[in-house]
Amino acid sequence: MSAFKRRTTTKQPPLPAGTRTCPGSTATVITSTGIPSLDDILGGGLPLSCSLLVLAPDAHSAYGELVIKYFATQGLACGQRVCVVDSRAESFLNECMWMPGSATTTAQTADTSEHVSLTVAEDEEDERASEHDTKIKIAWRYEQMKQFQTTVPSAQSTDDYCRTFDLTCRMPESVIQSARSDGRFLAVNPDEQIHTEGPVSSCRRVIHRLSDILAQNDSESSLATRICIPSLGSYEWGDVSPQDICYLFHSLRVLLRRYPRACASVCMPSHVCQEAFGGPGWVQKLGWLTDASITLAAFSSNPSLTAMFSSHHGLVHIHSLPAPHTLLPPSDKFSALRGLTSSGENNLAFKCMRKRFIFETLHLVVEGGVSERRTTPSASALVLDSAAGHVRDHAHEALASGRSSVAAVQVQLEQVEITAPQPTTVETPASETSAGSSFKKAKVKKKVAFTSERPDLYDF
Amino acid sequence: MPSLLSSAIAHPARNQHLLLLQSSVAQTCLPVLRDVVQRSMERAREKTILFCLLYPPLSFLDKASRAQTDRLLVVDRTTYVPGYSDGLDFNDDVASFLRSAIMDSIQSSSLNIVIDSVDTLLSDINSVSATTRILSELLSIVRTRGGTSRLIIHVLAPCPLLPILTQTRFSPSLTHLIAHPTALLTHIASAYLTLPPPLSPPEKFWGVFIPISERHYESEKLVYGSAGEGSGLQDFVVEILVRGGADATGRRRGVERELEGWSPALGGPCEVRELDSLKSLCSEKPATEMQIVPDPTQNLPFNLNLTQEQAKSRAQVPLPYAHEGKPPVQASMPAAILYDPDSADDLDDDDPDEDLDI
Repeated sequence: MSAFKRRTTTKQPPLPAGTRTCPGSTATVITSTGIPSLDDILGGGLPLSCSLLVLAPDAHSAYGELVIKYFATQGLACGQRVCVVDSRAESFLNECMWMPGSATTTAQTADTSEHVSLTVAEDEEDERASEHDTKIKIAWRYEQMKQFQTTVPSAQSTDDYCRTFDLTCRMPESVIQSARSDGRFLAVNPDEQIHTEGPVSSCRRVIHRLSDILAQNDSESSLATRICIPSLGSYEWGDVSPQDICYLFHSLRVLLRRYPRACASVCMPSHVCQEAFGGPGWVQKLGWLTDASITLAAFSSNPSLTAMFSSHHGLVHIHSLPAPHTLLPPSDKFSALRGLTSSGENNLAFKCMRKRFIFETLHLVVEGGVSERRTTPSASALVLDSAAGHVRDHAHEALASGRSSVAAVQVQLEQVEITAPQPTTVETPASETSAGSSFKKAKVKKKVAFTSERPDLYDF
Repeated sequence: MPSLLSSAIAHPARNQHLLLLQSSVAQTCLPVLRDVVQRSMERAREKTILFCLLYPPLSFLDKASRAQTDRLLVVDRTTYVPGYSDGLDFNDDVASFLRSAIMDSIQSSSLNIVIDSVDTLLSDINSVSATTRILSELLSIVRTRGGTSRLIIHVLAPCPLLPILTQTRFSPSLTHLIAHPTALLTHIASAYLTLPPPLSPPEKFWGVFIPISERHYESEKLVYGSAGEGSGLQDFVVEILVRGGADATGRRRGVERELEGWSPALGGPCEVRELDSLKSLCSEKPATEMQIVPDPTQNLPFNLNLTQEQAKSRAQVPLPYAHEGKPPVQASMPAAILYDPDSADDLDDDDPDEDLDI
């Protein structure tokens, strides 16, 4: 209604660096976790004033800490303040990743964008090279279709919101020093004894320190603050009981709501993530105490799961998603990976490649499982293959002429199965007995080989 | 192929600094610990510090090794009870003690620290975090020493320290030996119809074995229950988990799991199939996958075969849909209608049918 125009335009305060508004609700300001696919699962990013809990119950891997490292690195890369709560905060940052190929660390020059695209291209080439020899022979009518996307593409250009990081690059010392001198890197040690307070549990100490830091930062500048706790409940925190952990999460939520330009990301050691530590329903309790909570269940020590899902490194379970200003989490509507809008909810898995860490949708193999019945190829399978070779020539000639009928496809299969004598070749009688055996099973690396009927939904 | 167990005991790799031996109520792993201690004493340039907290030191030494006391330093705290004994607390003096011990052993190249019962240490100190702190200090001492230095820990499951000691945060590389009774394997073979790895696919076996082995009460019931034979057997099965181990070619592997056996009669580490109690299991032949398919073309009263001419003429038959889509082969002569007039047809020359092209 044009009669009701605002006289004065509402001046919104500028958003802190490295954040943007959530598409689902304009009151929510979100920031990137450093991993584009995790941002997608959370509905664009982690909202400020929310906490993210990453549980990693597998003792033989450290994927939860890897996610926290991405979180801290993204914070330093886009100029936010990072507060690391760990007894060895410096060594934690030294092990973090960084953007590829950047000798110049502060400026976002064109070089880094080229390097970024180069890295992305190299990564894709690696994947393509590994796929090339295991290309599945699919029916010709599907060959033109785009390959099914299982994850979100990483940021292509010098995106201010989410930088691309390379796991093979370490964070340069200069970055850490400049962040420390700017006051953007703070370390809180759960170990240190504050003698004036008397015996107080480490969780209370940490909460006191964090509230001091946040109060100080809130008055000074408008930078967003990221609180990273890589290992809550390890031995440096002393003997931590489940009640202490619940107290810490509850107080952390109070702090984050009071100082809404901060967000937190917590990971716990594997023995704390399990129900043996906290009792039945512990994981659910943690999901209710934090705003966003996921479990990365890695396969590393279980040979049967590794064999079954050979292209992934673990499963992802989502316990809660952030919804600070809405009833339902925006991730339900905006997450392409979870897929709630298109089909039923997808299963998610993660994979740690040489240069990056991604979350993917998990699909069963094309034929419906690894344990399907397998017919062993007979001794004359070599003859079968050579006959099949001739058959494919026929099929390709049929294609070239442009006549595409269903009958041609069916005949192709029949001709492979039955070693019917061709006009050009003379079969030996021995090969006729091999009609019973079917052709060889496709190679191990399974891929979903077709897209759905509605291409626009998967166009991400 | 050298077994993982023997290489873990006798020839430790250069980056494996933590060796964790896990016993349970059903099966003890002490014979392996004894063997490790004795072998480390046999090596010339190694110094071993043995903390005896539960088992008497004599149980680790045999007659021959008692002579070589310069390579072994025994700290006997089996009589120490916190609150009742006068000796200093473990927390306070262990660091200084170790530093002095290390200063003495400056000539030797590597250092092994053996703790024979870390759950006794935990119950003495009564705090999981303090015990973990001590153990991580010991581990850092061992790692700065380098070479083939190791921290060797024996633990009795279930223990609250165990999930902490297996984490990557405690030590990136780990060799974990878990002792299982042979009754467990025979139970799995009879109740779950799954034989140990060479006889059944490893994925299937580990999928069955890992959950049941983690439930300690099951093994206890199998050994001490009414149908069990008790714990007197000398042979047992060792599950080895190596994290961060390197391949023969030097490639780093993730986590490897193997199942091997221990038999004093065979001198220590051996294969699972060589264990006496499992010989009956492992001698079963796996179900033959290749079955003889009866050939239906034999013993028929009629002839199914083709002669040469028949085969040749059959090969020349064009298949019905083989050439679909291809342009048809041009005939040599144009199409024409050939008509022989029959009796009922009247061909009248006055009025020929001009439209018919005959």
